[in-house]
Amino acid sequence: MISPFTLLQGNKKTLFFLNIALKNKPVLLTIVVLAVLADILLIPESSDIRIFITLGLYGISIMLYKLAGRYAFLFCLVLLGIMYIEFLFTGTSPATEKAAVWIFFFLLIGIIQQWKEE
Amino acid sequence: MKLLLSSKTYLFIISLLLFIIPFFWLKPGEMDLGGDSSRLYFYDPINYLNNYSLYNILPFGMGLVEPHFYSLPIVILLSGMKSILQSPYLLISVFNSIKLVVAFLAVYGIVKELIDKKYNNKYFSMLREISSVLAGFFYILSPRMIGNWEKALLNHDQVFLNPLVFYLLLKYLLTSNIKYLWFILIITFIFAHNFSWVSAPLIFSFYPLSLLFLFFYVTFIRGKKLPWKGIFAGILLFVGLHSFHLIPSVLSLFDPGSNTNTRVFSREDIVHQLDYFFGVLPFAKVSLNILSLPPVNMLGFTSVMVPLVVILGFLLNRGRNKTMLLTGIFLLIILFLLSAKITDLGVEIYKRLFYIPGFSMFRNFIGQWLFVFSFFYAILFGQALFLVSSRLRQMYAGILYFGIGLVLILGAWPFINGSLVNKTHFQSNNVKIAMVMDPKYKETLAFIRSLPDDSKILTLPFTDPNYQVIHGTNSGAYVGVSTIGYLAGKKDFAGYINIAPFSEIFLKLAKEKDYTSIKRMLSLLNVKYIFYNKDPLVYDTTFPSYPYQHVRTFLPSTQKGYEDFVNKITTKKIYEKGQYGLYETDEQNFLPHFYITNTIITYDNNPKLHPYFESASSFFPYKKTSEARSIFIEEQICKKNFQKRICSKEFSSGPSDLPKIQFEKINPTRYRLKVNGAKDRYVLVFSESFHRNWSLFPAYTEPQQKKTLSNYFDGKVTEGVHSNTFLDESTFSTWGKKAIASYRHFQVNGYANAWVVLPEDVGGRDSYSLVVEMTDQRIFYAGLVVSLQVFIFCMLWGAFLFYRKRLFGIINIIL
Repeated sequence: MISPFTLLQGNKKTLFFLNIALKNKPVLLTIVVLAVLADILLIPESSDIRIFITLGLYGISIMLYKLAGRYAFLFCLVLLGIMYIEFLFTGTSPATEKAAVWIFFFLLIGIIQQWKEE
Repeated sequence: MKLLLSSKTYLFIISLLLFIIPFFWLKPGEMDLGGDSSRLYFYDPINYLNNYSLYNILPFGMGLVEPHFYSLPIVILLSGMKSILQSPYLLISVFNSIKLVVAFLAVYGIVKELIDKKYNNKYFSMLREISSVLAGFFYILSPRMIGNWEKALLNHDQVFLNPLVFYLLLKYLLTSNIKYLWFILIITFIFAHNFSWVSAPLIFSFYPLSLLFLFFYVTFIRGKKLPWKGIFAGILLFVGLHSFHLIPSVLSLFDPGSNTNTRVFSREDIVHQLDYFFGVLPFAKVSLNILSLPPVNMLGFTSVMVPLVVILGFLLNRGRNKTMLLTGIFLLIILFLLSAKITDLGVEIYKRLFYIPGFSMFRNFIGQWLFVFSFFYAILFGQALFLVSSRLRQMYAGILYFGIGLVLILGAWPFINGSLVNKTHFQSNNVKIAMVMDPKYKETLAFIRSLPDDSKILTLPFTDPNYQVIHGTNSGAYVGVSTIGYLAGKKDFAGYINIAPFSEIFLKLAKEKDYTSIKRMLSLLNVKYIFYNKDPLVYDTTFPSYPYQHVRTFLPSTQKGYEDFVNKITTKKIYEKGQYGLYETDEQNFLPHFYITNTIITYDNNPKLHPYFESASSFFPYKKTSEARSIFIEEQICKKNFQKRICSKEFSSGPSDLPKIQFEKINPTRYRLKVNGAKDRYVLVFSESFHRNWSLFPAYTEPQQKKTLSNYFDGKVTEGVHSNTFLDESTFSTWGKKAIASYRHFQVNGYANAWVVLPEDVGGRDSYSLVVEMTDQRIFYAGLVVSLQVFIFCMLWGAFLFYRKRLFGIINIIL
């Protein structure tokens, strides 16, 4: 099994950052959650780069912290709540649509993770 | 009590209730017949069959060639049912009921099969039953599925065909029981319209993904071997059964210049399809697809119910149920295809897909993927609901089920009570879709059908699309394709679209009140009659805009004005019944369906004009001629077929040189001509939409009919007695024979066929018979023979499968 550490062997700088990330699980996860929430609620424009960087960070979190698929689904529940409230108050506004797109991605991540879990 | 708890009992009760519901949507006598392709097969299936389903010529306008044989089995079935039920109201209601009941039962069956059976005690079995029932309800009552039942086209049958075929395939792959395969084949044959080229978007949106799902499920999750031999035999039988419409469609696909070919392979067309795609894109909403917003405003807050259950289901999927995960992956793929707006990168990828030949069929991606999404959403919902309820205490599970059931039923109440089905016509003043046919119109149709001559009709009031409005005796109206072509068998021009390439010039002439030119134009189009519906309820008061919006600015804006207009372009009224009148145009100007020209007028195509709606303006009406039998021919085409001197100026061969012809219609794809006194070459004109496969054959049998109907041009053209014979001993008389003058076949008058016939084409004789035939129709005959043979084989096979024991018993007795 290839771990992220094997892949990054020899790269001292990266190992240093990984070390920091490993020790700061709540911080990294909070960054991911806040990035998603900010994207939905605070930033009017949509950006693919933002979405894929955030998803990348969550992907790294899954590998580093061995996050289970249910966390992705839990986050989906939160996103569903946000989308629902946005929908009730603003209809199919950009914020509602962004929340829906995030649900799509986190559902996908959750399903893939759960498929791999025994 | 035991009986009450049995699943068969409550399924029967639910099915019965669902079956009854559509009977309340319309009142007895009412019909919903309107729409793009109309639903006239419910009203008069036999005439629909005779005029539309059996031939590849469209029964309206100039008679475009388009294979549409797919409707044959269902129209035959409807004809049989109509003869028993008599009432179109009953026929429509029964079909709606079948859609509802079969869709519900199929989804119920699928979900019950997919839910993990490791929970095998009585309680879990009950949960499985209820979850499956609610999934079935969710499928048929979900907001996406209930909003499109009015004016439903034939391929709306996908509502029940998708889950039914999926269920039968699932059962076949799991059990290898050949009876399921037999059912699939027979169902696809009866509902061939849903498995034809016209339903290609629906087929390619549902079946590839569904088959892939079934493959993964059966092979990897259930660990079963696929019955490959049966699958291949099934594919072969499927192709055989569907030969009658598949072969003409496939050939049309590879026929350069055909509509299908252009749509699938033309790169230029991709640009148009992409424009269409980007036109639809703003309407796509990812959130609306995830939520399930009912049409009842008060219940808007319940829209979160279904996605909540689904996500909770995944969260509680501790046993890592792979079926649910597989369904989830497929649902997300379809959500991507349905929404198209999953990130900008997603839109870019979607855009690139249009460069795959054939993908342009998904340009209206919302409509194409909606049913597939609803189906996978329902089966995922059923599985998730089971998982969620199985983690709850019995009482809470009961409350959950009750709540979901209540929300589904209340949310779909406008559908259940019929208000979503019997809507008000678009842009009308409260005119309902459900109409009761005026018996006077029925009589008028019968009169038009009985008209002996082979000519065309102009239907007024004129519309933007090829539509006709008929107000019923109730507050409803029919707004759909013209009934005259489909039900009376006379090709008519009812709207701007199907009078092309004369669309623009007709409006211009009407605006300028140039009645002489209008009469001349009608003559070029072979229009002998004008059908005029003077009912103010179809124009003045009730339909202020659609379907007349554009043409109303050129044509009379009131029925009063229309009456004057009709009087100006006709000579006499030949029939009147209530609001409906039939008028005859000027006989002196009239050009029959076949004639021999005496004047050739050349013109240059004006590239500035719209190639479809405006191109006739290149020659009409400014190229003046006093001779009625003139033809207008594009200069390049003229030079290819005639000597240069003929094309450089107006040419007249003199009326006395022209041979006499007598023509009679055998069916819309075949005409018989008798030519007398053809001493020299001549140009035969056939006023039907140009197609290179209209061919001319020498016929060595005399026309059967001796009687004649009408004479034109001092007896130079005679109409024989026409018929509509699909099959007789002469149908195949031209098969294997070489067509004549095929290299001298070209387009004239902007749309019609013409041939230069030389004496050597007919062995130097001056009197002979000809057959004018649309040779594409032969493919249908050949395909039909194959289909019938395979169908008979399937029937015998079915009898063997289901009555094997009895058959063996009889054989034993005999032996």
